[in-house]
Amino acid sequence: MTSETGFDVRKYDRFPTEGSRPDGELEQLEAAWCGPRRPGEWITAINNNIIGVYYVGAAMLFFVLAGVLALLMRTQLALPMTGFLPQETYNQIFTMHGTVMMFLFAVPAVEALGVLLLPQMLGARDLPFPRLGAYAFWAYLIGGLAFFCSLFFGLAPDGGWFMYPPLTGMTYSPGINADFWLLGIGFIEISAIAGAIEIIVGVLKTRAPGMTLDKLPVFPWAMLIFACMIIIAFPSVILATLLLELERALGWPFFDPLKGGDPMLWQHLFWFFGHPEVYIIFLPAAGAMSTIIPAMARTRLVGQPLVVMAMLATGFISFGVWAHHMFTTGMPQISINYFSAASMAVSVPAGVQVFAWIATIAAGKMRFSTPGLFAVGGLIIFVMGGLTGVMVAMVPFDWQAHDSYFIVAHLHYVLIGGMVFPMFAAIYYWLPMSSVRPLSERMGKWIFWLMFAGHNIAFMPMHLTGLMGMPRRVYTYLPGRGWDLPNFISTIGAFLFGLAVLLWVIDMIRNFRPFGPREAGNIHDGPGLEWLPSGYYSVRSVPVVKSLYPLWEQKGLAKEVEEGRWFLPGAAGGERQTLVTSPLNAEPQYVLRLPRPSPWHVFGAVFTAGFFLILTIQAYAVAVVSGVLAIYCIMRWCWFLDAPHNRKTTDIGAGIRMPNYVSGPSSHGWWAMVIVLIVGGMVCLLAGFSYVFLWSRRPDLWQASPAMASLMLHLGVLALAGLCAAVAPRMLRRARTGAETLATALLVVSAVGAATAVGLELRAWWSAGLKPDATSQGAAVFALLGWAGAFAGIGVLMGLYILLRRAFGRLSADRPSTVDLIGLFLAYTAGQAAMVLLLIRLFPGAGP
Amino acid sequence: MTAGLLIWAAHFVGLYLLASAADVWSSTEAAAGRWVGLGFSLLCLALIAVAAIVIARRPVPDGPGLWERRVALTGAFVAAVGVTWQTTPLAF
Repeated sequence: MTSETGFDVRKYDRFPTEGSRPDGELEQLEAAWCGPRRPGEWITAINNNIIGVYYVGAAMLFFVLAGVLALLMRTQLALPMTGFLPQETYNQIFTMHGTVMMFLFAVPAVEALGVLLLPQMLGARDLPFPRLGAYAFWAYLIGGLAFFCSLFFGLAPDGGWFMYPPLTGMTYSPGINADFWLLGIGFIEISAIAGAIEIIVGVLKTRAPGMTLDKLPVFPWAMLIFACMIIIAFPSVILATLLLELERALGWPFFDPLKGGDPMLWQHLFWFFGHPEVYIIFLPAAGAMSTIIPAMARTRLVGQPLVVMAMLATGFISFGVWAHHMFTTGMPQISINYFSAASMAVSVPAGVQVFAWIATIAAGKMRFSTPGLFAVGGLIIFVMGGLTGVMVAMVPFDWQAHDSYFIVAHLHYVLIGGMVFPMFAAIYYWLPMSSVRPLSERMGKWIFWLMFAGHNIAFMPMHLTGLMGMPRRVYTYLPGRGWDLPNFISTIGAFLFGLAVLLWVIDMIRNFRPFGPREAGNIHDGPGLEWLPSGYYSVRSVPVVKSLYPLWEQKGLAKEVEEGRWFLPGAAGGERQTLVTSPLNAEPQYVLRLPRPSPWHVFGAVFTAGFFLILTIQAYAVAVVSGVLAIYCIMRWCWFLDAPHNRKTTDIGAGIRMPNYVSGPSSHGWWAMVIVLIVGGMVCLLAGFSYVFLWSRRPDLWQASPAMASLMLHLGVLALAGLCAAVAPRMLRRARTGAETLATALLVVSAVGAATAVGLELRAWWSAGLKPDATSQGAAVFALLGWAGAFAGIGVLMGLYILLRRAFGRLSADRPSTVDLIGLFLAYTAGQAAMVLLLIRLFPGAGP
Repeated sequence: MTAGLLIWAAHFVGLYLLASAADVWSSTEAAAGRWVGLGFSLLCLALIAVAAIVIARRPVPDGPGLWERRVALTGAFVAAVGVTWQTTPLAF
């Protein structure tokens, strides 16, 4: 095998080591990774074993809450003309049910599963940014709870979970209900993106040595694709919510046809996120299925390379089907045909996975214990949902079924079969990893059958009510239309499902005992590294992976790992460390020092959530204060990063030494920054699409751009800013006298330059008479410049931060990461601003 | 490893953009737009074929390289089927 990094893989043969381990090595490891000892430390904890449990728990809490809302709706719809819920309350409840299930349960639940499981699965001590993961969790929990509580004050959004304008514009939704959705969801998506960054870098950079791509288990593969999809898809909903909030708060007419806007823009942006969201939810669940089914069938997954290829293909094609939600909107026929074809094509990769699972079940000896039952039950339900999916991919059928209960039935079959059942399978399968006791097998089977029956009794009849013409989202209906009986049956089914969830909650209360001295262990005889004996430090030593099923095929591995006979068996210097490896062949590259708990990420999450939520109630001054405090907390959190090391290298076992510090493209921080910039780039790209789209609706309203001479000046300033940003890291690396000062000065000049250029461009347009609230052109131009300006503003904050680091002596030529990353950000900022300027000046036509 | 799938993604986004552009400048029913769509599809198929040939002509690796090669070639095959399938609406 060719080396990817120059590391000699023959060194793997030195493991497992022999002889006794040094005295006190395990005690030092346990001390470095000790759990919380005081009550407050349970909040400031950042270890994935703790945050992961919190995260899964919070997601399931939202699942239960949204489920209660579903029961309220089904009670209202059980009989015709019922007055159980007022119409307005019903509107809020169905909106919150969909929103909470999609945004606060489905995506966070699978992300939570990733945070909990990935380090152990990959053989890492923790994910590479544990504090970012903890920040994402607290932001999600605080934001989610505040968002849910809006229901108790009659302030919950009521425009449906996809919030179409013009219904959600100021004309038809004048209160602040819609603002709660727009700011709350926008904020929660930022938390999801933070989690995705953690997962991508974690899967690519912290795998156990030898865990090449072919030996990477399917669940981490799925999480990697899932996280990449979040990075591409979620910027779309962030942009959409920003635009609609700008229209509602400031009157910028993105969606108002009278001023050149178009509500269809919302639908494009929303569904560019919304349809991949379905696969974002499905893929990790499918990854879990591809892990659980082979374990329960005691055999290898049939067609593992095909399954991985199918997941990759699903990830790609999911971005080509967004408009199949818009077949009835009057799009050009040829576009509809394309999207119809693409929607049918999705069934190919989905089918590959389904057949692989069926073949695995057939090839092995399937054990139908609770995880096995949930896996197979989910498979059946998902296939049924997939079949109705092919039906609605056919345009003439979709025209009939659109916005009817048929669609409600279809989406619940897909989401419950594709995500909820696999999630329960995962909980029953992996919970013994985190709990002293496993869940009850007897109750589990009751829960499965109640849930399986309840699901089908609830949703099967909805196909009929839909085909009989019952529209979704109605709060009641007249008797005598043939809808009475199927609705009543659906309500019975929903309550059976609810009973199953109640039993599960009771099972959890009775048996779930996390954070104990030991876990129930590998009761299912699972083959993955996650079943190795572990503590807060994850595995005692990081093994070399030689198989896709290491615990089945590497005999004696668990004992050797527990005895510390593989990589990184201790905690040198009492530090929390993990091994960073190369992205393809997982060759050791360096030892990453992980942070210890601190309160700053919690405060940061509180104030960030405060900023967004207080904006909703229009207390702008308080919101600004909260925002400033959030920035302060995040800066304090970053302040202790990139600190000096006492040792240049660490012995990672068998006499192999690895550096403790790496900068540039090999470092985990560089990867994270690149992903952040991809998110920013996606928002900018989609904003550019919105700009062109709005022009295509009403070109007659668009005015000429300002004089071209000013463009040259602004581009020149941006070029200078980009140059300074690119040169600063090189200057620092020269390590001459004053290198730190010169690099700092270059970065500050770059930040100020970018901000100046964007400011000058804004002034040029304003002077040319373009106003953001007058036409869609004004709104689009100022939104694009606003986005570029936001980056420039963050760049200025970074400039201030680097100045402070220089002033306090926290910059050094032998630790260039901070300068590297800020330089990268500022270079991107200048490039992005230049692209924005070129677009708004040169399209649709140059000015005088 | 994802070359074929990337071209597939570019293909369906490209077809959508071409159809939208045709809708703005003339009509999606116009023959010219369909010929451009067909040409674009053929270009994508050719690129997938090139990617597959480049992968197939490399020396057969062992271990993880072999696995990556299999995934890449299967992905290219699926992408070619996908591109062909999504071009069929041009005929109607």
